[in-house]
Parts: sequence; C-alpha cells; structure tokens
Amino acid sequence: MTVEIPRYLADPERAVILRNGASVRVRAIRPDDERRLLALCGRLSPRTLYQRFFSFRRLLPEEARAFANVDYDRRMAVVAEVDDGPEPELVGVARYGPSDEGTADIGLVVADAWQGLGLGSLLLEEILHAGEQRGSRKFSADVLTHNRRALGLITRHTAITPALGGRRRHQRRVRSPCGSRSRDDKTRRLLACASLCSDPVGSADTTGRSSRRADTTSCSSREGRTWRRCNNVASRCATPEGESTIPVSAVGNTKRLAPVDLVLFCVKSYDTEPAAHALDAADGP
Amino acid sequence: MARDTAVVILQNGVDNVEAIASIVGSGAVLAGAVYVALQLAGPGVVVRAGGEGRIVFGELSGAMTERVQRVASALEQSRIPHEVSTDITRVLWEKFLFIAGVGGVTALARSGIGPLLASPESRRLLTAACEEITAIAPGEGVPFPADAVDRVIKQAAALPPQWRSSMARDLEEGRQLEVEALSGAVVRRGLKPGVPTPIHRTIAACLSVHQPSASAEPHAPPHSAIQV
Repeated sequence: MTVEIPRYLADPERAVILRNGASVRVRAIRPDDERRLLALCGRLSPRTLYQRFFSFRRLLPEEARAFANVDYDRRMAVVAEVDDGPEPELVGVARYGPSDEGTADIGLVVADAWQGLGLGSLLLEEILHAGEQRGSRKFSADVLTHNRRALGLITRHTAITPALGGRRRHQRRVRSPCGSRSRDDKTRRLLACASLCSDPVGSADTTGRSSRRADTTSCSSREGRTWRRCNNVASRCATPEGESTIPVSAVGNTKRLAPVDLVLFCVKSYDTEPAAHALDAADGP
Repeated sequence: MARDTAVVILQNGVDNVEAIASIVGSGAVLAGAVYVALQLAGPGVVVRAGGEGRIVFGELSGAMTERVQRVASALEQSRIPHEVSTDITRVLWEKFLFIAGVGGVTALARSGIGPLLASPESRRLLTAACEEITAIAPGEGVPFPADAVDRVIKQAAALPPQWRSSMARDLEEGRQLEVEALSGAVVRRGLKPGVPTPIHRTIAACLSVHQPSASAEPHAPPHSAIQV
C-alpha cells in the first residue's frame, strides 16, 4: 500500500517576524484553507477587495474552494497565517496560475490590518521563488493604475517589461477591472446617453441619467427645446461590431423626471452651468 | 435632485467638478473620465470608432465609499467597462494633459497627429504645449512624473496618423469649441503662480475667433461627443 504524501508538504512552513514584531507562518495553501480564505475575504475593506479582485463582490464558497485546491505546480499559492484568534487565520495570500500568454499570473492580497509591514513583499518573494522552482521565468500581474503600493512593490521586486498599447505586460499589467467584452444594449445605452448630452449648439442643458434600475438610462433636455432637439436623441448606434437601435427616452423638462440615484454628467464644458442648474431643479423624492 | 442622488461628472477639463459642485452641492459629486471615441453622425445616429470605451471614476477624496461601490456595481451589472480610481483628480489631469496639450495643437494646426509628429518644429510645439500643462500641475497639487510629456508624445505616436482631437473636428465643421475649458483653463491656471503659457494663450486666442455664436445657427449639425 502506498500513501500519497500531500504535495503542500513539499514546501516547508516557516515563521517570519514582521516589522511590528508579530510572527506569521508562511506556508503553501492547503485544501482546508477554504473557510479561512472566505473569512479573510470577508474581512477585507472595500478598497483592498477592489484592488485585489477589481470588483466589490465577495468571494463565493465555490471560488474559495477552487482557490484552496491548487496543483502545487501550474497553480500554486502561499499563505501567511497568524494565531491571533481562537483559531489560526490567514492575513495574506499570494498565488499564481497559468495565463493565456504563457506567464505565471500572480494575485496577491494582504489583510488591511497587516499592510505596510513588509508582508506583501515577503509573499511576493515567496510566490516568485515557488514559481521559479517549478520552472516559471515570466510572471504577470494585473494591477490597477492607481494602486501605487502594489506597483511600488512590483517595481522593487521585478524587472518590469511595459506592454504596448497602454497596458503593462509581464511583471506589471494594467487592465480594466471589468473585463467584459459584452456589447449589449445596456452598454450602448450609456454611450448613446453620453452622446446626447453633448449638445450641438450649446443652448440645451441636457443631462444623462440612469434611473433606479441600473440598466436603464434616460436623457433630458431643457424645457422649451423643440421636438427637433428631442428627436436628436441617439436612437441608432453604429460601432465597429455592427449597428443597433437603442431605446432612449427623452423629456423636455427635468422637473418631470422621477427621482434618480445616479446622474452621468456628460455635456460639453461650455454647457456645464445651465446643465447643472437644470439638474439642481430636478425634483427630489 | 434627491438628497442621495450621485452625480458622476464625466466631462473633459479640470474646472467642471468645482463648477457643478457649487450648484448641486459638493456632497453629490463624483469625478470621472470616459475613454471612448464617439461622433454624432446625424440626428439620432452615434458612431463609435475603436474600442468599446471605459469609464474611470471615483470620490474626490479617494475613499472607497459605499456610494462608489453602488455605482461600480450598477456599471458592472450593465456590463459597462469601468474602473474605480482612488486618485481621480490625477486621472482627470492625465486626460487633460493629452486632450489640451496634444489635442489643442491638432486643432490649432488643423492637422492630423502624424504630420505634426513628423515635423521637428511641430513636434517641439506639441512637447511645449504639454510642458506648459505639467508646469502648472504642481500648483494644483497634481505633480506629473518627469517623463509624463515623453509618455504623452509616445501615446500620440501610437495613434493613427490622421487622428485629431474632437475639438479639431468641431473646428472643421463650424461647431462650438471646448477651447475655454482646455487651453483657456491652462492660461487661467498659469496666471496666479506666474507660469508662462504662451502656446495655450495662442491656441485659446486663435480658436476663439472661430467660436460660432449660439444663436447664429440654431440647428447646427450634430457634433462629435466625447473623445479619447
């Protein structure tokens, strides 16, 4: 009979003292880290959550399961663990997985209370080392352009190869957090609205609004504008992918609009003031 | 306007946020930038050239407020590419550097970006127009890195040679220009700290004589909208 030795044991656990004197254990992730990952994600501030996942959505249990179960080769993760509470909890995770470009794509997060102590640096070194041991030479990461702390960290630890076209590839890459390439009506509605809001002659103060339903948009122009103006609402949208017709409702008087949650203010700058006054005059609840 | 209405300002320029906040209240406004190339081709017809576009927005304070999350969530549900910035003022200035610096010169010269970059004289003009902006930016609390102008010129070089700003297209087609909010804003901001802005002064002056009066042509042809 052979007993399979869990592969996470191949990477020994070690204790590290951080700048504040606290001790953390750094080790390979294990399948039983699933609930600890969920707990860690639940504790992240919105800002940290967004900087890691480019979304404010919390991790789902099935995602946590997938994150906790790696193959220790093409997919690998290391965690930082502390014994502060009744049971050990995770305060940082770094991982990589295969990217479409053949690089090892890195994800890294440090719990808010543990940031600024060198833990990110430590975890990045650990995961780079783990990847290199397994034959990876090129790593990539998606980092928000204004996440200076992460960009600084990567700059210090890696040789950065900038990417073409405004994105940064390999060790540093920037991409939109919403990677959706969908071109459905909802997207076009907003674009149509933005177009309407730039008024040709500068006398109509149009504002684009999305109503209480996130997926609907309506546009308005100042009272007294002619039908021609209202008729100028974008109804057809031509894009490189094809043409579509977009339902856009326009009103002649902002006062008649129902209360709205969100206004996307898109007029040309010379129309700013009248548009802002029309907006201010719109009815409250 | 409802008490909790969020107003996300997606205009070009660096003066609009303050202007709108003074009317609707500073608590209501968030700032943002749109990156998309759109044109109104005729009544009710929008043409988008290039990619799908993207909105970058955030609280002026940089905080990840609950309101930011709600707006991001609405955009996500609508599958609108977006990014939340914790440094939105910088985002606005970075866009401003490009559209006022590079875009302003394409309008003044009535030329696509390709020929402007190919001629050493006009290339120097582009660089100098951008440098005037990076010179006033520290006074606004938004210092640019030392290589900012080089990067903008490289960014411009990556565009199709015929590319020109929406203001350049508006000029060609006799529409009202955003020059006051672009070069005009550079000139105004240079006055107080005494930063010379002769190029933007020239752009603002030369283009001002091409501003059509609002009443002269009540049914002017539709014009281009937001530009990259």
